[in-house]
Amino acid sequence: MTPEPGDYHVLAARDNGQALVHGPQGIELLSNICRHRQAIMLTGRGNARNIVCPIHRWTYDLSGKLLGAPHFDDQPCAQLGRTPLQNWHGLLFDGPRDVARDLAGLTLKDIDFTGYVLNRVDLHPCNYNWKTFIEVYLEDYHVEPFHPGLGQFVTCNDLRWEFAERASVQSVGVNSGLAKPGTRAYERWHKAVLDYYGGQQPAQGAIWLTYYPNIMVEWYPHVLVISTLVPQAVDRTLNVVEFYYPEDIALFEPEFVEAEQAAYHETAKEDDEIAERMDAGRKALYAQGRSEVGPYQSPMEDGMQHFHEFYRREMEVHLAGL
Amino acid sequence: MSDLATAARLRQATSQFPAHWYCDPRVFHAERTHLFARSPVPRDTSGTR
Repeated sequence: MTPEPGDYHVLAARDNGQALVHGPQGIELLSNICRHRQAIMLTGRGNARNIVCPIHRWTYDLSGKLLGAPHFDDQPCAQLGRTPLQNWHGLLFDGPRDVARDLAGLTLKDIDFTGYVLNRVDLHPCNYNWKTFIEVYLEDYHVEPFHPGLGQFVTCNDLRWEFAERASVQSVGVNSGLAKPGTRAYERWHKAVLDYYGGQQPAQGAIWLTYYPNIMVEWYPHVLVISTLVPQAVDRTLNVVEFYYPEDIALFEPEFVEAEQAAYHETAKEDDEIAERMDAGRKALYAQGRSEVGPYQSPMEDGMQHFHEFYRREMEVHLAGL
Repeated sequence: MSDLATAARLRQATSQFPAHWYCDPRVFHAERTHLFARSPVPRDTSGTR
């Protein structure tokens, strides 16, 4: 997102109140709110020598230090807030968790994000509970019956799970050498992949990491997608989806990028329908004062069960009496 | 005759959530306070560009 000194990227999903800034100490997460009258300063993405509030020209350096406040005899002692970041395999996180420790139990070999570039960020509003999103994401039982495209791109016959206390990984293979695309969108994506690989089958279909409660990292052949759920209400969730590709693909293979995103969006739309149906059923039960549960299919729903167990460990004590 | 192999795969749903955990605003607020306030947040890929 911010590879060069001076690059900045304002985080829209955080109401533009923070920005990643590539300053003298590397990439930092700075407040984007002026210390004078609390205005948002930077917008979007770009490159700058300083951070300047357009309203009164208060100016900060790229580490957040106030350099100048026009017409003040005494320089105000003010600095933009800085939030510490953690680096895990090239991914940056903030927050109180020790990310490396949380994910240490996962093998995840051959992970290398070097050279990947951000192509696009989607803000995808979902009309259902955030837990429903995670449940759909953590089971492969629906892939074949509900995803005609994805179900012919990957095969769950060789599904493998890995679990840590706060995370799980599901790995699936490539389906039949990508010989039988299931939909038009996936036909285009199969072709783009096979063209890029010179007709050879990629080594993997997909690897899906879920870092509980709300972060998903997906690897497809030469594609990295990071999704972060922002719960907004019991039945509203914002999914912030970031698409990354190796630089050569991002710059010179627009068909690969467009085909991949079209296939991804087709599958996401199908997942929306699944989640909306599940939420609607639960709302109907809730309105009747009832509840029902069903069994887990193993191994295809092992991840969902693991998430449920994690959530109960974290939340059950806080939900007592509700 | 029961299919024991199938039955073994259909684990009991001891962990699935009750319906009101998806619908009750009090549950949602408890999650915001106790789960998301202490969770990691991804911010960019530094190894990526």
